[in-house]
Amino acid sequence: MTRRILPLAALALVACGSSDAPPVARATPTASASPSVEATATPAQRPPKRRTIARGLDVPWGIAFLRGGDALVAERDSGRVLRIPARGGKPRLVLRVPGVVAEQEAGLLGLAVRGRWVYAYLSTATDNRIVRWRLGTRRVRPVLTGLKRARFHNGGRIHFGPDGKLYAGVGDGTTPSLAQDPESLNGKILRMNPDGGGVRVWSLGHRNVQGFAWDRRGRMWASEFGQNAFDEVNLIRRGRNYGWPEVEGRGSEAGGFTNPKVVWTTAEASPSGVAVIGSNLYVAALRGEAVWRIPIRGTSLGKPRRMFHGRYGRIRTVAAAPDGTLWIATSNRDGRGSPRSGDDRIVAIRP
Amino acid sequence: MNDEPQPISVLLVEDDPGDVVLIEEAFEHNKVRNTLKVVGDGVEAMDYLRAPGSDRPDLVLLDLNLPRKDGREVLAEIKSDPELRSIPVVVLTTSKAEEDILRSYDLHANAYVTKPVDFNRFIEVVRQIDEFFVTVVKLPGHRPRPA
Repeated sequence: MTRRILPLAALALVACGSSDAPPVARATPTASASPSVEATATPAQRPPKRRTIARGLDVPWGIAFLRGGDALVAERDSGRVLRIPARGGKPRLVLRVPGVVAEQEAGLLGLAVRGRWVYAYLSTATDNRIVRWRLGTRRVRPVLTGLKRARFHNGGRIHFGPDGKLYAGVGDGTTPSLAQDPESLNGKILRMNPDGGGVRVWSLGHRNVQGFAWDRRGRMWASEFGQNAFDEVNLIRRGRNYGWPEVEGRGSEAGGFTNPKVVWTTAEASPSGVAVIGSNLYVAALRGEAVWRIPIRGTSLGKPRRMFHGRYGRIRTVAAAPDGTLWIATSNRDGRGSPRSGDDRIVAIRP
Repeated sequence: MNDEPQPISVLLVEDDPGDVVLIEEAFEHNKVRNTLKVVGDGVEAMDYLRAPGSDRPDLVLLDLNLPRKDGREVLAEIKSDPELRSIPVVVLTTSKAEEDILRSYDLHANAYVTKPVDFNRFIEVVRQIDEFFVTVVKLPGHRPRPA
C-alpha cells in the first residue's frame, strides 16, 4: 500500500469540517504547519474532563513534553516534528527530520526530550536509527544507527528512564530469530547513555515493542504486539527474555522465558503507546480501537478496563502530560483506519 | 411553561472510564448542574441504592454489560424493590440486540438507548437524555425512607 500524503488544503478542510467542541483558537493553516487546533474554553475553577489538543494531524506517533508543558509531536509519514502549546494553540513546525523514509509502519516514530536535546527514532532508506538535535537548531546528529528496518515491526518508542538513560523499543524487523540473537539489537529493549554510548540489551525476546513507561516505584512496563493470537503487557526486568518467537502470550517459564502480566487477543488490543498516571497503566490499542486502563498492583496488574471503545478509532499513543492529563493520539490515517472528520487528533482527558 | 428546571441527582452505572468522561462532559454542557454519582459495577450500584446514608437518585443511567453484577440483574432488582422501583431507569448500552431491548422493557426499563459509537453523537444523546429529564419530565419526587 502506498503511504498517504494529504495536501495542505485537504487537511485544513478536514480540520474545519469537524463537529467537535467549538474552537476558541483555530490555527490558520500555513505552509509550515497545517494542522488545525482548538482549545475548548476553560472555566477558571473547573478544568475540563476532556479537551481537544489538535486536529488534522497525519499519523501522530511520538509525543514528548518540554519543560513548561509544550509538547513535541512526531508525524510518522511527513517526518515533521510539531510543537503544540501546553494549553492548545497553533502547532508550529520545529523540524522536518531529514532522511525519514516512511513506508507502512516505518517512518518518524518515537520522540524523547532531555534538557534542550530532542531525540527521535526514525526509519531511513537503510536502517532504523536514533538521532538528536538541540531545540532551536537544525543540526541532526546520529545517536544509534544500524538497527534493521523493515516495512513492519520497527518498534520505535524511546523514553528517558528514571535513571537518566535512554531506552528504545526495537522491533524484530520481521526477522523473528533476531529477537533471540544476543548479538543483534533487534527484537530488544535497549538502554544507552544520552550520547548513544554504552548501548546494552536491557531485555530480549521481543517482537515489536511500541510502548513502555515506568510506574512510581520505577518498574518498567512494556506493551508487545503479538503475531496472530496474543498481545501482551510485560514487566520488564534487566536481562530477561520475553520469549518471542518461541512463545507468544503465556507459556512455560521452564525455557527461561518470562511470562506477560496481561494478555489480550490481537483483535482486542494491538497495543502501541503506554503511559502511567497515578497507579494506573494506560495502553493505546490500534486494532482494539480503545485505551486500556490497568491498575498496577505491585508487580502484578489488575483487570484491564476498556476506555473509549470505538469512539476515536485507532489509538497509537497515550502520554502522561505534566499537568496530570492523559493525552490520547489517534492513528486513523495510518492506512489501516477509517479517518473521520478532524482526524488524526489528540485529545487530553483528566483521568 | 411553569417552574424553573431544578437540578436532579443521577446515578450512573458505567464500567468504561472513557464513557464516564464523555457522560460527565455531556452533563456539564447542561445549564442545570445536576449531581452525577458514578459507580463502576452492579454490586456497587445496588449497595449505593440500598445504603441508608446515600441520596436517592432521581434517575439511573444503567449500562448492561457490567462486572460483578450484570446491568440486567440490577434492573430486575431495582424494579422489584418497592422502595426503588419508581426511580426511572434509562438503559444506556452498546448492545443493539433485540433480546436486550425486549428484556429490558419486560423488566420495566423506562427507556432503552443504544450508545452511538461516535463520541460527538454519544455526547449529544446523553445531553438529550439529561435535558429531557430536567426540563420535560415530571419526576416522582422522594418517597420517605422507612424508619
